[in-house]
Amino acid sequence: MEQTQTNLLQGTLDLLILKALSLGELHGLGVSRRIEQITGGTFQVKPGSLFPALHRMEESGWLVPSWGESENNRRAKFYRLSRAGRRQLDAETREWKRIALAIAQALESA
Amino acid sequence: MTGWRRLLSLRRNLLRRPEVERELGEEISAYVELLAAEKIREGMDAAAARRAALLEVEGVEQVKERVREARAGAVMETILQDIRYGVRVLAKNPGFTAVAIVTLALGIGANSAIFSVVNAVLLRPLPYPDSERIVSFEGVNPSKGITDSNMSVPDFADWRAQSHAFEHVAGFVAGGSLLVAGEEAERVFGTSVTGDFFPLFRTDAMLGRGLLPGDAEKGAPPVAVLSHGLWLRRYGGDPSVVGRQIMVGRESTEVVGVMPPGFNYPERTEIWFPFPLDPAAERRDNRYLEVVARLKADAALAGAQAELDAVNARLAQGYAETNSGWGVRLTNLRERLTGNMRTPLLVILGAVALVLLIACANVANLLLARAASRGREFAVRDALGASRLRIVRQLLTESLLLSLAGGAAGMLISLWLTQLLVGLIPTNTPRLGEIGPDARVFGFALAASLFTGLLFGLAPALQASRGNLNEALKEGGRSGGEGARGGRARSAMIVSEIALSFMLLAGAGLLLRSFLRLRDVNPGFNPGGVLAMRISASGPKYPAGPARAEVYRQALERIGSLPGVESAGAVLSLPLGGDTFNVGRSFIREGRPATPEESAGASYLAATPGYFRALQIPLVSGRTFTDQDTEKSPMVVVVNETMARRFWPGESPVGKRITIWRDEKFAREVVGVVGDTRSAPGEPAGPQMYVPYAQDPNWGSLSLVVRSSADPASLVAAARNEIHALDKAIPVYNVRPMRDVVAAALAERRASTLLVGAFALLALLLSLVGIYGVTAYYVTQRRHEIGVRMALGAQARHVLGLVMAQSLRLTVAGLALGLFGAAALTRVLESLLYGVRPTDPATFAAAAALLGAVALLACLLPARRATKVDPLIALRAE
Repeated sequence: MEQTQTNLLQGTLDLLILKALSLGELHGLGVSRRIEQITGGTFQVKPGSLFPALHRMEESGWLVPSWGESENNRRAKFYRLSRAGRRQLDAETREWKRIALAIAQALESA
Repeated sequence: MTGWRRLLSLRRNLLRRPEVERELGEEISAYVELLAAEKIREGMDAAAARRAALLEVEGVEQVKERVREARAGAVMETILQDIRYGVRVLAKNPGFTAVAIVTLALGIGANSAIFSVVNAVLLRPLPYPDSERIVSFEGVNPSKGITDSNMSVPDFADWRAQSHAFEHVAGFVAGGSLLVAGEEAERVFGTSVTGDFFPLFRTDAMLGRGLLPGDAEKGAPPVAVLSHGLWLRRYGGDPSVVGRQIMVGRESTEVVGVMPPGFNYPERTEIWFPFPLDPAAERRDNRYLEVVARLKADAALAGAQAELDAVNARLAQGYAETNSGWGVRLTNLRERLTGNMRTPLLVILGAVALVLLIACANVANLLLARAASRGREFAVRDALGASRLRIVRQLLTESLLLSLAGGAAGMLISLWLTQLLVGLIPTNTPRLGEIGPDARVFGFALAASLFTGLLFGLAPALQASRGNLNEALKEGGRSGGEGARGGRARSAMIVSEIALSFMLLAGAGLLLRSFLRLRDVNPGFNPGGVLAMRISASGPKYPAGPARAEVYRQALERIGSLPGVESAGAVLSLPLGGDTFNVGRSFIREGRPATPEESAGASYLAATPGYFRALQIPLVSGRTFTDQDTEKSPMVVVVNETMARRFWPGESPVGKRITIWRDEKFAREVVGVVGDTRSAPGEPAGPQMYVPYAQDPNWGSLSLVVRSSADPASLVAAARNEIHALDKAIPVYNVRPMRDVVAAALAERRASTLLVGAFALLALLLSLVGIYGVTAYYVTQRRHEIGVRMALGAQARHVLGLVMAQSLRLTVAGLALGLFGAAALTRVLESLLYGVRPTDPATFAAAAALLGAVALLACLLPARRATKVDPLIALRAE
């Protein structure tokens, strides 16, 4: 599991974050937990990878940050998808499916 | 869209840093708290939950640092931060910083100065438009072993007419000419050029016009074009000189133009005349023309060469007697002009580059020592989340700050050094006037600075960043000590420094020995007490013939009767290249079949009877000339020993007869054999033949040699007066003691030997400092150990031995390495050496001894200090 996580490709991490946020606004830990949940626990994103990615994506205009109250009434930074972020999610999803199909075919052809 | 957003973020990140930082901190701590809250919900108590959460985050500071690195402008921001921090660190250690900058400034400055010479002489294109397309012709005859010959006018005309690769082909004859203006006659260097010459160089006159093809036609009024230098010197830069008549020789000549500054081809020319081209009236074996051409835009050198080869093959068939075996070699004009400067300059550049490497090793050593004492600082930064890359980058930034500061100071030093160099380089070096800084020199200095910064910074930076956090904190807890690794790196630096110094010293030693040998070479004459000067009796007043011979005879008689003068004579060209030209003529021995060696010829020298006495050229057999050898007496010739040995082996040439080219109507009897005089210090003399000037008074200028018992310099005014008493219009020039002629022949070697020697000394000095520094550092590090040893009863000499052994081991290793390096490298010197082999054992031994002694000296002082360590103080310092 450790291994999977460190080897997570940057593009894959971006895609997972976009997907996690497509269901609604989340703070950092929320994103982490949502990714665990939707991947059935296969991917655990550590803060050392998560926060650099969130900030980079925010600067790219895919995520819109806002400060709000967390479930335990603490001020926390929330992220939601921008319109550009949705487009990015669509584009990356298509791209991922194309690659996954190609790789699956390649593996079967052997 | 995305790019624009990132730019906005960049602005925010850079301009509103505190806010961005605060928000980041808040975001991460919220994460930790949320995580802890989760764990509390799972049943942990508050404190344990918080600890577990922090552990899971794996370092809040590390996470923040990674976010910062991911953000826009992170690179720029950290660079700025590194620079600010670096400047602070360097300013806090002014001693270290000053030593490092001075060392680098010397290294980079010397390199830039030498490079500015290399740049001007070897690299920069000639100062004419599209000058790389200009090629130089060189007459060659491989079967006779002749290279670098001038060419004949008819051949020139055929090349021009029958080749298609050239836009222009121009011929010229460089030679002295006579300019008279006002009372004193002044000799200026003039060149006669064909009509294509100025168009070929694509350089317009600054005032008036250049020469046109019509200027050389028969009956056209004589015209001339002045160089910028002559115009300023002689006519005070007066623009109205164009159109004025000046006296050149005895001929009134109109100045039609002044060339811009920097136009001085062929080298040193100050006045240009039209050359009357008349191929029909010229012989094909009279080769006196020099030829240059401009390639057409679509023509290549190789193609032009092939085309000329074809023309020459036809000429060799059509004119077998004069042209068989003759060809032409084309060379890029720039390469031709400076080709013989290449090896010495590159050797000097190599030597100075070694000095820079040694300087780098020294600075790297300083940095390594400092990195050791900064171990704790790096450990703290590591703990605060700086990645290893970040620490390496910080240290490299400091190195680059040092090297750029050193480079800037070095550039200033190089401006001054370049002045010094120009004074040192022999004045006949081509393109000397073009030496100066330009963009390329600044670029070189910058590149050298960056390169050295990386070179000396990389090892210490990697070293420092590799440190284990715990170890560093522990070790640092004591006295800023260092691990064994740092010691090894510094040892490696010292070993390579000594090896490089040895290579330089060995090279300098070889050059010095060659120079001393050359200086001791007997040139075949005795220059001591002899004054040399050149005079010209030519023009309509002194036509070639007996009258001219008579003027020289009278001049020599007058000078010969001056008080103190022992003998005076004259010759067509001085030995050791004193007159920079040499006439060669072929000859035929009477009664023997002609050989190729004969037609390759011998040096041809017209001389007066006093010449041999004045230079004390020994008479081997027969006689030299007397006043009775005149145009009416039997024709005679005197040959040198080499010619006698080569052409009359085992017998005496005296009494034999030869016919020399150009006097086919008669033969000359060999009446004597004299000793060889060398034309260059490092080359054996070739065959030489002397004829009495009275029997060949066709030469307008002769060199006078006057031997006196007094100082030759004291004779200058008196000799000049005697000649001017004869005729004020006879110019006297190139007046200098014969010793200066000998020195000038060695000037280039003196310069390169001096430079490489100076660099070797600099290298020695740097090594001294380096070894001293390392030994002193070693002693400081081992204070405690030495104190313990002494407390346990070690004697001073044991301590001395301990410290010295450490440094001397490195010295020996360096010498061994240097020996291999030198053996491999000094081979490139081969063409510059004389009478020494590139691996001369004596020179290598001397270099090793010198370097060894310096190393001993360098570690003696710190070693002695080690013996003064007071055990009590050393131990209490714990």
